Amino acid sequence: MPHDETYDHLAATASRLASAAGAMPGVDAWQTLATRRDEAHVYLIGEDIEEARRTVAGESAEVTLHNLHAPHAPTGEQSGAALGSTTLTLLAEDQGDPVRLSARLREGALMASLTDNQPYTLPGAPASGFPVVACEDIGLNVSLVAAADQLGARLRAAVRMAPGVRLGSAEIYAGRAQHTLTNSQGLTASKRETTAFLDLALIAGEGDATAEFHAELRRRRLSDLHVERVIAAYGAYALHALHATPPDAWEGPVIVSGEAAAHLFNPPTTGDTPFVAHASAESAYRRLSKFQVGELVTPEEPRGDRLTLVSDALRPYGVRTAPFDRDGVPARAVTLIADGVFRQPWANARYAQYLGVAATGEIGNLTVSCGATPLERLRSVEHGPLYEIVAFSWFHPDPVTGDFSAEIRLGYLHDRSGVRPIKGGSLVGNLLAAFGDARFSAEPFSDGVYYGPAAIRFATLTITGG
Amino acid sequence: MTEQREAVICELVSELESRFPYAAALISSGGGLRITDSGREQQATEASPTRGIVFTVYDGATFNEFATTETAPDALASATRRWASGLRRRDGPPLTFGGHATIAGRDRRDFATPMAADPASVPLPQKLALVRDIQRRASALDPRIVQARAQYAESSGVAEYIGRGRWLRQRLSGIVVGLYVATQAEGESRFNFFALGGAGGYELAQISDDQLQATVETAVRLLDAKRIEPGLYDTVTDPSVSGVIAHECFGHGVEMDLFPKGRARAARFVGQRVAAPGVDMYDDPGLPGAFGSYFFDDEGELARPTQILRDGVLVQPISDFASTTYGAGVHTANGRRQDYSRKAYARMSNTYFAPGTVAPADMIAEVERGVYLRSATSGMEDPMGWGIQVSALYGEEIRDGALTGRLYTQVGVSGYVPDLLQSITAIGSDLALSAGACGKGHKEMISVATGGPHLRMKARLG
Repeated sequence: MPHDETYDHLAATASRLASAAGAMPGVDAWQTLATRRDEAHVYLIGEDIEEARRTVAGESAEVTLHNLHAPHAPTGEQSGAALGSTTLTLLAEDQGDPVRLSARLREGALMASLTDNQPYTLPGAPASGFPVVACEDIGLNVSLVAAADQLGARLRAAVRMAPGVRLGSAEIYAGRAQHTLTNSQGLTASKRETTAFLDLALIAGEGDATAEFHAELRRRRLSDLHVERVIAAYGAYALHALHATPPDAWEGPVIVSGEAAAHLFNPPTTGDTPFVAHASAESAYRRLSKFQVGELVTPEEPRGDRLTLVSDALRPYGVRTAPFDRDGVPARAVTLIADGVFRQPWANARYAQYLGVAATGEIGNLTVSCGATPLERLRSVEHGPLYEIVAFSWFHPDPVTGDFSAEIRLGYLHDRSGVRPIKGGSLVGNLLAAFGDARFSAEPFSDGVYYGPAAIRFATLTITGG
Repeated sequence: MTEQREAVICELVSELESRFPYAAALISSGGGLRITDSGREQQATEASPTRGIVFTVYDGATFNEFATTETAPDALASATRRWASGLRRRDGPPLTFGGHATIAGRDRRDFATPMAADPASVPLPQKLALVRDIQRRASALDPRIVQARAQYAESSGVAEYIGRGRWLRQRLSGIVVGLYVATQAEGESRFNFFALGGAGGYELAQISDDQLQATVETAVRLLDAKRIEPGLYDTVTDPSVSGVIAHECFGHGVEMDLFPKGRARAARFVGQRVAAPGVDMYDDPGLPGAFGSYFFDDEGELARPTQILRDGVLVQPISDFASTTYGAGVHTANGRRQDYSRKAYARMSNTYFAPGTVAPADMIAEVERGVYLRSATSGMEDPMGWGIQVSALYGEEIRDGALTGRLYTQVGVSGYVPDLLQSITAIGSDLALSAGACGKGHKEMISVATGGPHLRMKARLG
């Protein structure tokens, strides 16, 4: 970790908060997290208008306080002491005034003393240190505004090269952040990270015959946005959407590809999809997980390719790559599911101790093993037609049951007469059951978190007609 | 805000106003408290507070903003002046707010959410006891419950807008109490949830025994629920589903920031029929007690209702400052930010279908074969394509005008927005709004409410 002004400033903040937290009566353990964020935002309308540009600079500090006490309402499960925890976000005025800081921490200690949970211990400094991981774009260590501007210029140039489409709007964010974590177990760690984000809408057609393709891309490095490639691909999608017709009602083979395939594991908003949710120690502790170590994750013996899923916080420039998680657990790669069988849960420090399993840290980037079948073979219509979905409106499965019903934003019907774009209707099924008969492409795809098959062919799913 | 900081911000806005067609500052802070109790785990923690200042300058062509958490007056002034030194006045579209009033006028107004009991005055142990009580009462109701998690959330926010001759201040408060119940039997798992919320004080924090009982009973009944056979159904929607339909169809669909981007089909339909006769729809940030309410938006526009649909005709989109500048339209009070660090967009507040005259029971009684769709869980907009995705936790079969008790789980509604809204054949006499959160695409989360009466329509379910 290079020593720079920001590092020294955050370290001083963390040290000040640590001293205050450690001296506070009723605080049995504590953790501090000091963060500095800088971002530049550029908003474009069409080819000509720069709607807005923003510069954002901010600091924040969190203190988590833990209090051990006799349970307020003892249960059969809980014997001995209970642990209460609370997290305070301290604003600048809280930190700068010792009297105010003390009052805030006292308030937090009181809050922690009122809740009963099974005790656990914060992680200490790892004997072998933290892994060195790549999560920083050195191109964003200079001027964020210039970097965002350059990306905007590349974007416009790429759109001008794309036949038949124009830019509806784009939002470009370039950001960097630095964090310093300390806790009462003697752990002190810092990390730096960068973010590149692109929200993009490409439009094809005119007047009533108009269609768009919209996407949100988040990466660590600007170069990983692959602007030219993305514009070419999404431009084609926008043109296809222009001519898309509603699908017929269908029950049969369906391919889910590209970002839609990534969304089966990595949803576009917060919340976990069923494989990630059921594979967590937290779900197991809460008795909500269906997965048992050593048993299949699908309701029946898989007839196609078997799912292997790895949580990997070490992958270079992955969006979830970091040397340590929120608690200071060192990053690692963990096989959660191997050949369709649940191997071990991902577990943060707390739930790892509750279940007596290894702490893996928070869920990392998601790596799904590819199959052996080339994409073109998956698309073969030798045995009949099939649908391929490339974009959902929002894939949002029930994390408990795995049931889903997702509107089709863009897809294709493959049959002997060729390929026809479709739009509308919903893809309906159960994600856990669907992976009981699925084939994975040999070609990979990555959305920054997911790295896995570019396409997954499910033997039988239902499409409601459009 | 300290007097010194107030003076500095006022001075900075005045300086910027002297150089540019428009300048303003928004000082905002947000926070709250969240308590959960699942029996095995309890949590009481602050909702991450945010506090920051954003300066906005329209230079004649582009909106420029500087957002910071800096609070020390001298440092704030020097950072803001350093940023502003890089701005130049340019030529572009004129502003639409009607004049270049400066803060010299200082039209000062203060607003606050009315409440009977300020949550800040209620001791934390009392709130914890409330959540524990809900959790204990619910978990005792059925042995098939594997988790009953009760939740209490209070949110508070203070915003000050300085610009356009105004110095506005509002203090907003909201409460949500809820219950999530997961059940298991014979290898099946299901869940149900119930939440009550609105703008107000601690007086909103209560769930009755009947509401708990109904939530648990449904979670248990859902264990036998099946997926629905996809198809077109006569559908009766409860107010939560009606609300999400309103929100996704002609809430997001008429956010005017999408108009100049060419991303909203509605731009070509203003003044045209898009829904069945009799369908009225509003966005009203001034609705008393609703979760999405405010007194002025994040661009200093005072709250007032916007009628979006009148008798099935699209009459007025919702807008923010930039969209009216670039697209020339009526400025409504819908310029909203996730927080100081994010841009303002045209966003909804409380969006709902207006009630009609039909009793909900009569609506169901007139359906020969259909589905009563309940408990909306999510939705997604498609302002350009006018597709719609609304998900409901469950639906109940209707046969010969009566509910059969047969439940379908995770039911999705999809279709073409005008087809769906023009298929509405009955508008209920009831009206209920639900508290929720809304994103622009998959980001920019804000508090909103959605709702309406029961509606009867033809919907494609699956």
